Amino acid sequence: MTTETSPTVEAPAPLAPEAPIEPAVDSPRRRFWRRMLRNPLAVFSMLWFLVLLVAWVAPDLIATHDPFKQDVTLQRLFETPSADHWLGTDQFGRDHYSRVIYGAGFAFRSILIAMSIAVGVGVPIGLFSGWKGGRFDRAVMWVNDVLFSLPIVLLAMAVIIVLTPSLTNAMIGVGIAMSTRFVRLTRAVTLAEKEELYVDAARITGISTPRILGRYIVPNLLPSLVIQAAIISGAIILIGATLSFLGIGANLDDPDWGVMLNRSQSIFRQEGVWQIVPAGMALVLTVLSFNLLGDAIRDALGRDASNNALTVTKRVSVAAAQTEHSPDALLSIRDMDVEFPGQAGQISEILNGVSLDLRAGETLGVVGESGSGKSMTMLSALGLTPAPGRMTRGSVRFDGRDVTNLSEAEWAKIRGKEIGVIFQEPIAVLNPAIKVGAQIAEPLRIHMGMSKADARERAAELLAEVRVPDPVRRLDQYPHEFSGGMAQRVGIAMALACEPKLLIADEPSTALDVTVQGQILDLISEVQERRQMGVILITHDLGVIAEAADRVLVMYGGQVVETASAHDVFLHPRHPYSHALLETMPQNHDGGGDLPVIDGMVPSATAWPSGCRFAPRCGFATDACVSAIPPLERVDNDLVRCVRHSEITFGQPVADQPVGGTA
Amino acid sequence: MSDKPFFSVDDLHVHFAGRSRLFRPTPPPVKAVNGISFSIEPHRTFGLVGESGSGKSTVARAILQLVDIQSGTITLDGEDVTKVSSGDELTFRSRVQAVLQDPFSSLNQVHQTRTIVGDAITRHFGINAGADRDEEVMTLLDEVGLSREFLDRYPYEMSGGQRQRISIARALAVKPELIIADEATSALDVSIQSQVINVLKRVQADTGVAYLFIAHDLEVVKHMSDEVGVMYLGYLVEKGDAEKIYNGPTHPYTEMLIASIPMPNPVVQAERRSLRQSFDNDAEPPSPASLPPGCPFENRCPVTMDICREEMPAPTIGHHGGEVRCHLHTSGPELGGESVVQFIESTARRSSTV
Amino acid sequence: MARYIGFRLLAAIPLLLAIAAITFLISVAMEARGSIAGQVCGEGATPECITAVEAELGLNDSIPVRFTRWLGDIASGDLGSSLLDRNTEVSALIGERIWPTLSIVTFSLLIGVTLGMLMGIVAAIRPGGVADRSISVIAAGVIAAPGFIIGMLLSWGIAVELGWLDPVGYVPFGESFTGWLKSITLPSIALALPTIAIVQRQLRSSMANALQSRYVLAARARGVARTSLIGRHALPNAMVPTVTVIGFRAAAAIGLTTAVEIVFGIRGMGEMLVTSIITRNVTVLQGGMIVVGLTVVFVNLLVDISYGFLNPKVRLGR
Repeated sequence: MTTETSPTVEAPAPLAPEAPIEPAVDSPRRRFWRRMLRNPLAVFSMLWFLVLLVAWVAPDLIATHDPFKQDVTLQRLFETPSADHWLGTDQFGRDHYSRVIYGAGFAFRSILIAMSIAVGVGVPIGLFSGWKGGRFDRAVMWVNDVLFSLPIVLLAMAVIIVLTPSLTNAMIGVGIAMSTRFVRLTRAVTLAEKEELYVDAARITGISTPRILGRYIVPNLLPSLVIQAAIISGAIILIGATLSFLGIGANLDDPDWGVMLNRSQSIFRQEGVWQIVPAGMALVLTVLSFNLLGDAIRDALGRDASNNALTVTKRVSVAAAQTEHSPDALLSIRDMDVEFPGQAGQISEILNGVSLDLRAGETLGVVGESGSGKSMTMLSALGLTPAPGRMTRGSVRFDGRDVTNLSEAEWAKIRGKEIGVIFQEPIAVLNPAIKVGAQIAEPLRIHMGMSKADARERAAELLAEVRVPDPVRRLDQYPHEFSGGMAQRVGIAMALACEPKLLIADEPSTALDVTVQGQILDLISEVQERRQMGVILITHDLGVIAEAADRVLVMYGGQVVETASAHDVFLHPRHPYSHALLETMPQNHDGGGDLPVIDGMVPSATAWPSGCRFAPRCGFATDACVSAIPPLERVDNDLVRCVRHSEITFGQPVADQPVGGTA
Repeated sequence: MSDKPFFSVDDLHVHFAGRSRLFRPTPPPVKAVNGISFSIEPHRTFGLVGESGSGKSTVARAILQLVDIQSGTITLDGEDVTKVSSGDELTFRSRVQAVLQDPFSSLNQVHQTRTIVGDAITRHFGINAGADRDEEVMTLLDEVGLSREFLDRYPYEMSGGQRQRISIARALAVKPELIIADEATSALDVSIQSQVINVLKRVQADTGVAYLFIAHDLEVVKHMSDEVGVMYLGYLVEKGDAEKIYNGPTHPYTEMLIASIPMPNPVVQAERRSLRQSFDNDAEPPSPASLPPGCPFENRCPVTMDICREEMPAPTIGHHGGEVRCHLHTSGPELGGESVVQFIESTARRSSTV
Repeated sequence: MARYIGFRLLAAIPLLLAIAAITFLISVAMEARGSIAGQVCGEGATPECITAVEAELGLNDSIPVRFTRWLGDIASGDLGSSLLDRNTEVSALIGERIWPTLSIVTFSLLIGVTLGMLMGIVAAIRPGGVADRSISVIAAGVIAAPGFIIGMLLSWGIAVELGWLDPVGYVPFGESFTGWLKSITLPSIALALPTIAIVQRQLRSSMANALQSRYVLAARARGVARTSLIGRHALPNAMVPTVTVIGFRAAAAIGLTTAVEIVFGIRGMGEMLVTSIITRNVTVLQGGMIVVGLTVVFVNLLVDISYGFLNPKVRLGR
C-alpha cells in the first residue's frame, strides 16, 4: 500500500488469530462481595440478620426466660434492665429480652408470607405485561397504578376486615399491596431489557420466548429484584408492626414487636419510656438493616454516585513541567499527566506527558481512537478533570497567563467568556427544562452583564448567525424540539456568545448525520475566519481533520505520538500508528480484497504495554521499542514519538480518486 | 441473474401505528419503509446505506421478523417467508441470521462465549452442552480469528472488536445462507473496524453466504458491497452497482451523501469541500410521521421543480443501469450522464449565454 | 397548560371509579362470608332480622344494580349509616373525624417537604462531605423508625419530661388557633420526620444524577457559577422524580397517620377506621376508604400538574 516503505519490514499478516488479553477485569461476583465486605454498614446489617436468624430458628438457645411467663407475685413489673432481666420486664412482669428474641420469628414469618405473595404475584405479572407490551400492558399498568397509589395500610385494612384480624391476614393484605411494587419494577426492567439487542439476537437465533424470558431476562432482572426485596422486607416489617400496634395484626398476647409496643403505648407516660425501648429498638434495627443491605447491594453493583460534575478534585501539588512554554501560543500545555485511582488502590494514568501549542487563528486537529485521551486532555486543560481523576504534573498557559492552578471561581470568569466549548452530544448538553433562548442568554448575562432583554435579542442574532431558521420563534422552544443538527448549532451559538479567543470543539459532528456534519464544520471554520479564534478540533475521524485542521496532533494510549502540519500527517506520516490508521480506512483502499489492518486492540489505561504503547500492534516494532517509552522528538517543526522514526519513511496512502462525477 | 432470485424483497412497506391515548387524537402512523425492492444472490452483498431515520434498520428488522410489515413480500428461494408459521420459524432462522450493531448490548452479559454461541448450536442441531458442542464453538472461533481461550470469556472480558467477532460466530453457528449485518462495524474504532470487515469478507469467500450489509458509512458499504441501495426517509431512491453508483450517482441525495464524506487527504478534501457546499441548505428533512405528498428530498434538493412538490417519482432506469427515483430523469430535463452539480453549472452557463 | 390540566382532570374520573369499585368489593367479599346482616342483628340473630336487614340494605339485588345504586349514593354524598348504630350517618361521622387527620397530614407534609428538600440539596452539593454523611446516617435511622415510635418518644420527651406541650388530645381549630397548632405539632413532627428523610434521600440521589449530566458539565464549561448550576440547572430536573416520591409519601402518610393519632389520643379518621375493623363495621370503613381515595386522587392530580410545570415534554403533550 505504501510507495516507499522501508524494505526491512513486512506488512503485518492480516487476520492472525487474536490472543485474549489477560482478564484485567475482576469477575463481577468477586468484585461485588469484595465491595460488600468492605462496607461496614453492609457487614453490620449482615451480622444483625445472623443474630435474628438464630433467634428465629432456635429462640430457646438465646432466650433467658419463657416469653409468656408472667410474674404472678406482681413484684417485678415495669423493671429496667438487671442481671436477671437483661432488658427489664413489662406490665405483667414478662421478660422483655426473651420476648424480643421470640419476636424475630414473627417478623420473619411476616416477611415470608407477604413476600411470597408480593413476588409470586408481582414478578410474573410484570414480566408478562412488559414482554407483551401494547394495550394489554397499558391496561395492567393502569390497574396496578390505582392500587399502587392507595395507602398500603388501608389496603391491608380492607383485607383484614373481610378475613378477620390476624397477623397472617394482615400480611396477606400487605403482600397484595406490595405486589404492585414488584409489578412496576419487573415490568420496567423487562421493557428495558426487551429493547436490548441481545434479546433480538436470541430471537434471530430462534430461541423460544419462555427460554428468552427465563435464561436471558430474569438473570438481568435479579439484581434489581434483590435490592427491591431487601428494602420492601423492611417496609413489610414496618407496616406489620403498625397494624399490630393498632391491634388489628398479631394476637395481643404474642411476643410480636408491634404488639409489645401496643401494650406499652398506654403506659409509657407513667411507667417510663424504657417500656418502648426493647421492642422499638429491635424493630428499628431490623428495618434499618434491611435498608442498609439494599443500599449496600446497590452500591456494590452499581457505580459510585459520590462524584458529580461539581466535585472539584483537590489539586494536590501539581508537579512542574520540565519544558518551557512556547511564548507566542494562545494555549500551551506542557507535560500533562492525569491519573485516576482505580480498583484496589492501583492508579491508572490516563494522560502521560501531553504537550501541545495552539496559535491564535489556527485550527489544531486532535485525533485518536477511544481511550487515547484526546477529550481528557481538553477537560484537564480547562480545569474540568472529572473527579476522582486529577492532574498530577504539567503546566497550562492560556493567553499569556498560567492557568494550571486556578480556583473554580477564577476559571468561571474564563470559561464561556474567553474559551468556548462545543460538545459531542448536542442534545444531552442542553438542559431539558430550560428554554433554548434562556440557555443561550445565560453566558451573555453572566460574562457580559447584559440585561434580560438585551441578552434575548443577542441570542436571536446568534441563532441567526449559526443559520437556525426562524430564530425568534426557536428561542422559546425546549431542547427536545430540536433535531441533533439544529441543537449543535445552538451549541455553537452558545460557545461563541461572548466572542471567545479559543474554541474547543470535542467531536462536534460525530453524533450527526454525514450530510449535517459538513454544515457544522463549515459553520465552525466560517466563524473562525471571521473572528480569528484559535480552534481545537477533537475527533476520531481523519476525514474531518483533513477538512478543517491546519495542524494535527495524533494521540494514542494517553500520549501524543505525532504532531505535524495537516499536509505532512496525511501525506508523509512519521509515526507508524498515524500511517497504519490512514491505511485501514476504506477511503484509502480501492477495489476488493482485504483492508490493511492494525492487529490487536486499543490498550486500556489499567494495563499500558511497556515501552512504546503502540509496539504490540506495530509491524515495525523491535526490542528497543518495548524497553522504554520513546521520547517525543523534534523533527523539523514536528514532533514524533518513535525510536525508529529516522529509519522508516512512509509515503502517501493510495490517492483517492475524484468522486461524485466531478472528474 | 436467474428469473427466480435467491432472496428478494418486493414492495416492502412498514408502518408504525401512533400510540392511541385516552382523550387525545391518535397520531398518524410513522411510515418507516415505503415500497422497497431488492434482491441478493449467494456469494453477493447488497449494501443498504442511509442516514438516521432513513428506515434502513427497519428493513433489517422486517426481514428478521422482529417487526410486522404493512405489505409486500419477502421471498427466500421463491418461497414467501413473510408468513412463516411458528413451526417453520426455526427453518427460517437457520437460513437467515444477523450481526447487530452494538457489540455491548448484543451479547448477554451473564453468559460465556461457550453458551452464547453454543445455544444456537443446541437450538438448531440438537447438540447439548458438552465437549462436542465446545469443539464446534472452537471451530467457529477459529473462523472469526479468535483463539480458543475465548471459549470461557464473558462479554465484559472482551473488547468491542472481539465481541463483534463473537456475534459473527453466533450467526455462523447455524450455517446460514444469508446474514444481515446491521451497522455491524459502526460502533468500532477505526483500527478495529477494518479487522471486522475483513472477517466478514473472508467468511463470505469461505461459505458463500449472502450479505445484506446495512450502514450509514457509504465508504464501508461501498467496500463491502456488489450492489448498493440508497435510502432516504423510507424510500429507496437509488439502487445499482456499487462502484458505478459511487462514481456516477444519478440521484441528488446520493450525490450529496457522497460529497459529504470527508476524505483523509487535505488536498483532495479542499476540492471536495466546494462540491459539498453546492448542496448546502439549512432545511431539515420532514418527519416520517408527516411525509409530504411529493418527493421527501424536495426541500433539501438543489434542483427543485413544481412536480417534485406534487408527486413521488416512480423508479426508472438510471444511466448506470440501476434504478433511480427522481423527476430529473422522467418529467424534468434528463441528466444525460451529467451529475446534478454539473447540470446546475451547465444550465447556468446556458442561461448566461442566452 | 390549561389544556393539560383539563386532560389530567378527565383522566382522574376512571381512577375515582376504580377506587369506588375496590371499596365496593369489600362489602361483596364480606357478604360472601355472610357477615353484613349478621353484624347488624348482633349475636343470636333471628332469621327474620337477617331477612329484614338484607331487604333494607338491598343486599338481594344483583351486584351491578347494587354497585350503580351505591355509586349514585356516594356521588350525592350519602355514605350510608353505621352498621352498629343505624342512626349515625357515616358522612356525619367522617365530617367530624376528618379535621384532626387532615390537619396532621397537611402540616406534616409541609414540614417534611420543605425540610427534606433543603437537606437533600445540602447533601447533594458536597457528596461524601460532612453534611452529606451526617444527614445520610440520620435519614437512614429515621426512615427505619415508624411514625408511632417517633410519636411516643416525642410525647415522652417533649410533653411529659419537658412539659412544653400536651402529651395527648386535640383542640379543634374553631376553638382556639394556638391550641390547635400546639395539639397538632407533635403528631405532625412524628409523621414528618420519615417524610423528611424520604424526600431528602430521593432529592439527593436525583440531584446527584442531574449533576453528573452532560448539560451541567457544559454549563460549567460556559462559566456558570456553582449556585446557579445547582439551583437553576440541576434542581428543576431533579425535582421530577422527587415530586413522584412526595406524591407516594402523601398517600402513605394518610394511612400511617392512624397509628400516630392513637399515640396522641386524637379521635381522627385513624381511630374510626381501626374501630370499624375490630367491630367489622363495613360501611364506616368503606366511607373512610372513599374519602382517602378522593384525597389520593387529588394528590395525584397535584403531582401531575407539577410535572407539567417541571417537564416541558409532559406539558407539550409528547
